[in-house]
Amino acid sequence: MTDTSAITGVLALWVPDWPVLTIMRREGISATRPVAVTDHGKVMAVSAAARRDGVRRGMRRRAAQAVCPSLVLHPRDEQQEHLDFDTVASAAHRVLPHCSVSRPGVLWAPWKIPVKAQADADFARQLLNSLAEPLIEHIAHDADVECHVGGGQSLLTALLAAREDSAVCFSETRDYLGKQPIESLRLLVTDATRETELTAFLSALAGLGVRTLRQLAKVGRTALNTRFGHIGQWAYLQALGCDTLLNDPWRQVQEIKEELVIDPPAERSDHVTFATAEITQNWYQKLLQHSLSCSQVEITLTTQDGDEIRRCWQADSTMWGGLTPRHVTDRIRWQMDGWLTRQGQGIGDDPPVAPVAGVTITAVGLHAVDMQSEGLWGLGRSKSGKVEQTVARLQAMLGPGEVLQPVAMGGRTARERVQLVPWGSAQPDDTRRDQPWPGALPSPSPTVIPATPLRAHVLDSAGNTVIVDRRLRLSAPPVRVAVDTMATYTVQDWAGPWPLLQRWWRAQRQTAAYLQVTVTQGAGLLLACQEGQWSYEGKYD
Amino acid sequence: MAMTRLSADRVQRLARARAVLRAVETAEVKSQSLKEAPVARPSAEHPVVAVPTVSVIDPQRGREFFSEVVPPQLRQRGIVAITGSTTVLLAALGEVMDADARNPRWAALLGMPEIGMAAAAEQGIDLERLAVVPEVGTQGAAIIAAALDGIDIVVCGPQASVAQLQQRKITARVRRHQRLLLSTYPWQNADLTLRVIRQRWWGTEQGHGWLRHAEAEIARSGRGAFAQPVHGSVDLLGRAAG
Repeated sequence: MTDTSAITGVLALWVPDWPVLTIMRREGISATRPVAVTDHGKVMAVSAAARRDGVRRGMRRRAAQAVCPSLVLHPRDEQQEHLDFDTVASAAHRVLPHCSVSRPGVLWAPWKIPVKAQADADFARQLLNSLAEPLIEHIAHDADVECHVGGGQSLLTALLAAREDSAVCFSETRDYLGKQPIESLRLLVTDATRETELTAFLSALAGLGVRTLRQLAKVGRTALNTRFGHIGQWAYLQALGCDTLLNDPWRQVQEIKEELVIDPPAERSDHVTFATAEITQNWYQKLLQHSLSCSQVEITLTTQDGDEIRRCWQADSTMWGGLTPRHVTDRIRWQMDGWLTRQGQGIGDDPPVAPVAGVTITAVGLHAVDMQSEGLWGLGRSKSGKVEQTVARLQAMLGPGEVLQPVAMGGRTARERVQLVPWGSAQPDDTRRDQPWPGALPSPSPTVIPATPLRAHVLDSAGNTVIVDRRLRLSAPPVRVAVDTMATYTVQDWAGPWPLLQRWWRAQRQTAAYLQVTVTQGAGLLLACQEGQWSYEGKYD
Repeated sequence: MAMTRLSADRVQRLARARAVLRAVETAEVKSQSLKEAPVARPSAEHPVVAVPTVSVIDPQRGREFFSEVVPPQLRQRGIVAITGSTTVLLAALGEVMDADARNPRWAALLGMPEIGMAAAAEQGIDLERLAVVPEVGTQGAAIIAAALDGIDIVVCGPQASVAQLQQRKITARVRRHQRLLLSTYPWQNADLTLRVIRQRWWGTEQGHGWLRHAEAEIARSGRGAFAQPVHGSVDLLGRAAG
C-alpha cells in the first residue's frame, strides 16, 4: 500500500462444493447424482443435484435422506481434499504467483489495482476478467474443475463477489457487505473447531435479532468485544470489510524464517515432515518471542537438483487462531504429497521428482498478536482427552518445547535408538526402526545417559591413560575411571572395546570405540574413546 | 543373612528359593511371605526379630518382580519411592503401566533429564504412552500437581524434588485423584519405599562378553498395612544369557 498509484485488494478463487467434488472424483460418481458429504453426522457439503432436491448444509443424515432418498452420503476426507486441491493451487500459481490456499476450495491472492478502479465498478470488473480468464482456463485444463473468481477489498467481499463472478469496487464495500446475512461469515472458516465457535456465535446473534452484517456492525466494536471476545471483534472487522490479510507493516522490519538442510536428502513426505519437526517449533517460537502472528506461511521445498516447490498457505490467523507447528508440518506433508501425486499422474509443470534436500518456512504477512491464539499446541496422537488437556496445561506452564515424547527411531547407540521430540510432533519411522543396525551396541542400554557426553579418564594400574590402538587393543587393562563431575570408580571387569564407525560419508563422521566396565560400586559404565579422548556415555544402574 | 546367589542352573535355583521360603514360613519368626496378604503390624509381643531373605527370581515371569514386591492395591494408586536404581524404577513403571490390560495407563516422567529412554523401552514401557518433562525449572511442585490432575502415573525424578511441606500437599492430591506416584527420592509418608541396597551387574569377561545380567538387593519398608519389612534380591533383566 506504499505505492500511491495502486491499491491492494483481494482476489479470491472459489471452487464450489469442493468436498463433494473430491468425493465424486475419487469414487467416480457422475455429476448428475445427488451426493452429500457428512461430517459428524451432519451434511457439510452437497452437490448441485442434491441441492436441487432440497438437501442443505447442516442437515442431519436422516433428514437429508428423507428429503432425497437417492442421496449418496459419504464421510468427509479432509486429507484428500487438501491433496486434490493442490492441483488447483499449482495451476493458479502460474497466473497468480502470490496466491495462497485458505482452505480446500478457496484460494486468494493480493490484487493490485489502480486507484481509478477503486470507485469505478465497471473498470474493476474489466480488470478482474483479464485475470480471471487465463486463471479459469488453466484450472479447467489442469484440474478439470470449474471455478469462480471475485475481487474486492477484503477476502469476505471477494468470496461473496466470486459467487457472482464479479468484483466489488472498494467504495461500495460497506454497502455490499451490509446487505449480506451474518451466515456469510462461514465462508471464512478454515477448520472444524473454528466452525463450532462460529456457529455458537452466529446463533447467539440470531437470538439477538442481528441478521445482516450491517446490523452486526451497528452493534459496535466495544459491545461485541466485551460480550463475545475475539470472535466478536473479528466479526466486526469483517463486517466492515477490513482484513488482517494485507496488514503487514512488520514485513519490512524483519523476516521470520527457518531453514533446514536435509542430509541425506529425503524421498518420502513423512521423512521430510519428521525432519522439519524441530524447525517448525523454532519458527513458531520466534513468532511467539516477537509477539507476532502471521497470516500466511510460505513453504519451499528444495530438491537435490536445486528446483523449488513453493506454496503459500493461509493461516487461521485471518480469524482468531494461529498457525501452530502442527498445522505447519501438516501443510509441509500435504505440499510434498501433492507434488509427488501430481508428478505420478504427469500433470502440472512442477519440477521433476527428486529427493528433497531443504525446507524453508517463511512467515508472510506478519502482524502483532492482538488476539488470543487457540489450539496452539497441536496434539498429534489419539489419546484420552484428559491426557491431552494435562499436557497442554504443562506446555502452557513450561513452554511448548519442554514437554517431550519419546520416539523409537532405530540406531546404533542408545542415544539414537530412542529420541525425545516435542510432544505432538512425532511421526514414528518404522522403516528406520526395523533396520538391523549392524554393529549396534548390545542391549540392555544404559539407564542413565548424560545430556552431553562427559569427559572421562580411564587409567591403568600405573596411572597412565588407557589407549585404544588401531587394531582395537587396549594398551593396558583399565583399573580406574574418573568422570568429570562424578566420583572415581574402581574397575572390576570390562568388555570391549567395540568399534563404531558411523556416517563415514560425512565430514563430522563418528568413529568411536565403546567400552563397558563394571565397577566396585555395583553399577556399569559405558565409555567411548574418540581420537584418544575418553568420554562417559552412560551408566547402568 | 546371606543373599541367595544366582546359579546357572535355574531348576536348582528355584528349588533352593522354595526351600528358603518354606523354611521361613515354618520358622518361629513372625514374618510374611511375599505372596500372602499383608499381616498385622509388628507389635510388642511379636516384634520382627529377623528379616526373611527371599529370592523372588522366577525365570518364567521375567521382569514382573514388582508384582511380587508391591502388593496389588498399591499398583493402582498410592505413593512408592524407589531409590538407588533406575532399572528398578523403569521395570516398576513398565509393570504398573500395564497392570490392567484393558485399561492401559499413561505416565509422565518429570525432572529426569538423564534417563535412558532406550532402556525404558527395553524394560517394556510403551513409549507411546509416555510424556517426558526433563526440566521442571523452579515450579516443580506445581508441575507435579498439574500432571497428577490428568495422568495416571507420575514419576518424580531428582530435578523435580520437592520440600516436605509440598510433599504433603502432593500426597493429598495423589490420594484425592487416586493416582500412582513413583518417586526417585525418599518421600515422606510414602506407602512403600523400595531401597536398592546393593546391585551387581555382570557379563563382562576381561574384554569379552557384555553386561547382560543384573541383580539388585531390595529392602522394602512401608506404612500401615505394608509396615512389614521385606528384603530380597531380584533379577533385574530377567533374560537368558546370549
